[in-house]
Amino acid sequence: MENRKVLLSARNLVKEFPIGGSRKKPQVVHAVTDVNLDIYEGETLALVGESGCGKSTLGRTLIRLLEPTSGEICFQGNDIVGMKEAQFAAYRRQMQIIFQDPYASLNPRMSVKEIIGEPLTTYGLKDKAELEKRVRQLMGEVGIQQEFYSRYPHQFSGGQRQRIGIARAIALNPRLIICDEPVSALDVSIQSQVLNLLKDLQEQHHLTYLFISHDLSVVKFIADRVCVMFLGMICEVGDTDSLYEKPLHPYTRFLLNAIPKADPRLRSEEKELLSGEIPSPVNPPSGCRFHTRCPYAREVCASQAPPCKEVEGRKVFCHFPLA
Amino acid sequence: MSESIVLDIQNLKSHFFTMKGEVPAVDGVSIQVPAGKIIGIVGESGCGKSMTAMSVMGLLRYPGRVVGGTILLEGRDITHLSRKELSRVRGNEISMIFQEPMTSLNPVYPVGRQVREAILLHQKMSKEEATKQVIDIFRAVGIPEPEKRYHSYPHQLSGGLRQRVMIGMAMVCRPKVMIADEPTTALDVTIEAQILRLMKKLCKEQGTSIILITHNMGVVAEVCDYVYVMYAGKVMEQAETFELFENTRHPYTQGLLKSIPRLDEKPDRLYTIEGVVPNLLHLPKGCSFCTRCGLAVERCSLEKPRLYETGDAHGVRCFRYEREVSLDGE
Repeated sequence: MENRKVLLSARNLVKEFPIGGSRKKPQVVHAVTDVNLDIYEGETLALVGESGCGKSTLGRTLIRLLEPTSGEICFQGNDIVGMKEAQFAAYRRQMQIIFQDPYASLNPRMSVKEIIGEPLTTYGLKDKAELEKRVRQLMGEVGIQQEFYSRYPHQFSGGQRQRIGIARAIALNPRLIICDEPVSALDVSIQSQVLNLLKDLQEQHHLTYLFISHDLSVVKFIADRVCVMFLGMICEVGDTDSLYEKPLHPYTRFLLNAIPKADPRLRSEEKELLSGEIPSPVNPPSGCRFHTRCPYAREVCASQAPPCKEVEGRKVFCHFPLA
Repeated sequence: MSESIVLDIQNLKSHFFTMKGEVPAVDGVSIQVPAGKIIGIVGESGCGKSMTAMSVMGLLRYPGRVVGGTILLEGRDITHLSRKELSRVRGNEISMIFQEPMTSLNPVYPVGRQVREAILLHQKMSKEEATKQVIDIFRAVGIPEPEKRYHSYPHQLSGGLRQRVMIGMAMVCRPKVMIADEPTTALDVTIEAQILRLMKKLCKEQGTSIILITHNMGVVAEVCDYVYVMYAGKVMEQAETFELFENTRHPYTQGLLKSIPRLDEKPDRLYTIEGVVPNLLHLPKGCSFCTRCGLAVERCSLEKPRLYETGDAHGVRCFRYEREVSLDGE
């Protein structure tokens, strides 16, 4: 893992959203706070956490769909934050995104050929015959039948729409694809089809995925490494297998505990559950942001932000990581 | 199942009469709910699990209609009650929780008042007493500072708290049956686990039976006593939870369970059920799953299988179990 090339890295990345307040005391949502993250070439890094933890914001900020408030983002060694649009265009085509809701992410007035062809024409493919050939090839790759070439999104089911979204994302041969909850809107039997497709495409095109999800069983299947977030901050980053086997951050453990498992023999009344709700990102708790819900919290957790500790090759942000 | 049956749904048929034709959304569903148990109905979207619940609650609206079958609540037929009679049953003897707690609460009234309304409608009680009872139920469903929360508006509460309010509202008249339609789908996992545990606790303490409708096999495994698996408007398999997960018989249930990614293993590829759910307007002539079934033979596409009993209160709608006794009254 050490000698693998870093594709994208973020340093001290911050994203805040203003939500009013007075001029003297402006209020902001601290969506992403001080995130350092490396994505290696060819891997699938999963970003997990509960709603409102900033995982989607982080994903979008990394490819500059949202401008970061401060911090650095390097793509293949080049800082892309301050870049002018003209210069950035060459990088933007290498970073694509697949959205969660296949109903909202496709323009209902555009046909399949226009949706998949749009990125190609934007980046200069003018020849019509060439365009049709490429679109048809992409449709084949994601498993959309050729006769649907001129159909419109409403004529497709959720799973097929998600396939169209995937075809659009891979049209420009990108390096990095942000998958923002790509299967959470789909039924179980369709979900597994799309997950397999994503895995196949990764192999064929040597893609790197940032896979955003709240479903830890899906993440276990698809990810090489996992990054757990809580309220805009990273709790723990590490290899999928070791992280699932032995979580170091208390929050990771509670998350894993809470998943309903499809095996009634694993039922337990004594299972430790997390109490309380997620604190507000407008006034996040001081120190470690998890300390208000953490049963192991001590005084220092409320006053000081946790340092980054390296344990067995994994990074954990906790004063007292689980042994 | 020798326990007393509280709610008995027999051969329920609910159809939708659309411009394109008659859609059999619920097609001959029989479900028995014993006292104090949690019954799960599981299936993918469009399988008719929500429509079964809506039919029981008398909430089907044009163009949908119950066209056949009976719904017995403690032996009393509630299939064709008038609106007035129905409103005495709904919320009092049977209550319902919906998926999205934000849309099922009225945004312009404090939540406490909305729960109190349920009491005042169904029980003879002064407003003060009712208020006290609301605060008690808020405490029972784990809402912190219940006196203060009584006066909160829905938008001031988080999703988890709103769902607790909904559960409180559904439980406040001590109904015999509570129908929960995807109660935790909109919630985060840590909150979901809390709500499921709460529902289990209430069910035990108050002796309320729960019908839990979900698409999540994990939720079923976690809380249900007995499970019905639905597909295209029909029950495909039914069994006690442990039996269903250990001796899964129907190819559809098997496929469903195999296609869920698991925490304890990491395969290279996931198992998939090929194809998509059939259009209810153009169902196959035979078994509705035959077009996607790996084990289908010629007969499957010609004849409709019945629900066959295979022992241990385990029913399977598949010809492979035909030598067993048929559970259908057909």
